[in-house]
Amino acid sequence: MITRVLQNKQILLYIVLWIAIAVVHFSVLISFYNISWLPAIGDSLIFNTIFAIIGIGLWFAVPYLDLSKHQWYELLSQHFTGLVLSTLVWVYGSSFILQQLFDDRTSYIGFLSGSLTIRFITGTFYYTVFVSIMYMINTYRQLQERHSREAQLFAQLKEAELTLLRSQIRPHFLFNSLNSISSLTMTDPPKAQEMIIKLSEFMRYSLNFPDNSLSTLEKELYHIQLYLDIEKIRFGEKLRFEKEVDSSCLQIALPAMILQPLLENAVKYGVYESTTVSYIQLKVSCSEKMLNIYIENDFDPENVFRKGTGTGLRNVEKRLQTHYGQPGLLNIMKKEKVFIVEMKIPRYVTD
Amino acid sequence: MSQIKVLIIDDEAPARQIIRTYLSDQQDITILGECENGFEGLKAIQELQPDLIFLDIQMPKIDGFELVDVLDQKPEIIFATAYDQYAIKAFEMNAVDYLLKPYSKDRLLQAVDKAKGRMKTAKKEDPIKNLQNHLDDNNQQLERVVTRLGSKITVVPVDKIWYIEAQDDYVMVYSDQGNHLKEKTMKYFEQHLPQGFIRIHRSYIVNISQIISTELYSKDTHLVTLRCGAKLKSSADGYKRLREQFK
Repeated sequence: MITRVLQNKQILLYIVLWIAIAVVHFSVLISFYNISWLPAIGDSLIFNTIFAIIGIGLWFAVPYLDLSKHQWYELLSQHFTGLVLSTLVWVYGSSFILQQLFDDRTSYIGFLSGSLTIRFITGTFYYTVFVSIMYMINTYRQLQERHSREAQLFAQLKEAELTLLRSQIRPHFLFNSLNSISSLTMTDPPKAQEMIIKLSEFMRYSLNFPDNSLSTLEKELYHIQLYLDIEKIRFGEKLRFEKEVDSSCLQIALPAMILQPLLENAVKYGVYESTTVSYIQLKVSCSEKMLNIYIENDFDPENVFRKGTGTGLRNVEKRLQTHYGQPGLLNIMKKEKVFIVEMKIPRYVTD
Repeated sequence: MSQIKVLIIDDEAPARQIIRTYLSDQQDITILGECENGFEGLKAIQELQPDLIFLDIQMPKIDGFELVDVLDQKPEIIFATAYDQYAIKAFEMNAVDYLLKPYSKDRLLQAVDKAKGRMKTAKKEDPIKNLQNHLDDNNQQLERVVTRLGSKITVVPVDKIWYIEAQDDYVMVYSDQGNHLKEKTMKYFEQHLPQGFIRIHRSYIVNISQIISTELYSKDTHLVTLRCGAKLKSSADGYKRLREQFK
């Protein structure tokens, strides 16, 4: 995979790591083996540079020996071969170069030829540690990839779910509204025209908003008023709506189409299920930190609801949570004969 | 031809108005009235005895299907609904017609013609009965049971039901809200009640959350005691089903 190519930052890190190892190597030669400066530097430089190069080769080899795709004995034999080859090339290659460089320093050459065993052990150690680290990095990357893929899938799923929910609610509302309009075209054409315009405006707003876009309270209120006007034509006196809005809150930002589902819910479980007058009350106030929205609607606790109860509200709750990253912004209460929804919108989004 | 008496049942005024408007130039049709919901609808059907009703499906408290279900005088029915695949499925076979809102005048008159045709020919089959059977065939779980006594309708949520007892062609539904007769079979309830209801006997389906105790009564029979005080016999098979539920 081409994506495995080392990135700049990682190359730097790799170089720094080898410089550190080389310094330790050099210090050990100086202090424990009494090697003089020049051959010590040469020894450290040659040995470690060569292993650093072998290490890069290993880095590209490891992804082809994926832990999950091969049997353990395959991996073991491959790595055993790799280990033997790497250490042989490393130890004999380095020694050969050093012998050429320092053939006049007999004490060092003596040390060099006597240190082959410990070099092989060190080589094995390096190989094992490097391969282990590489596997760890690879596994970590795969895990991250999987996570981001999962997150992507999840987002898509949620989007699909939302679309589905929307398409379940809208057609009923849309076709019933069109039926009302059809009726009004004969009995009251100006009102029919008014309703067509309201319905169009409402549909345009509700269908076109991107999921994370922000709107203002003023716009949101305008669109719920359109929605309620349409429902009012359908249900007449049965639907009573009152609102109390602090005008200083109107320019506050909030997610688009977050209010309408709450009103739709109030209409659905209040007006739709009531045989008498049903009230819906909306109160909006704001403090420095919060915008408070309070919606109350009459409902009959004895109603037995069909499945799907509360999906609209749950959606709003999810959207609030993803948007503001804090839970508890939506509170739902059932009192004796009223249903209350309280929504809090933080005024400053910390991002 | 004699006048056809029509009743309109819909919870939206414009939806009722459009039927009225469409039918206003039809000489052989008399509109008896309009109803806003199923309760009013039932009363009006009983008092006014219409030949034909226009019925909405989504209405408060009880829907159009549930209203049809408790009728014993059966006028011809034309359903009018906004968007309902369930309705489409159900009526393709047996209803006089169904109208998808919004619909044209021609479409409505076509439905009325169909109804007239059916009224003229002797009914070979009872369309509502057929319709009910068809509805009964689907797998939808019951969430409430709508029963009628005279002109009074009671809606019983299934979780309020204690048990159901077979009584000839009917079943008796015992619940918090009293005892209600329903013209349905035990098989229907066995199929449509949610989990938590067990048929313990040919004659009984119980809500297992109501059971206090069971005791051996005779060789193959157990006695099941419910919270409401009722003691019901269970058959060997029924008791086995009950035991399985508690495994």
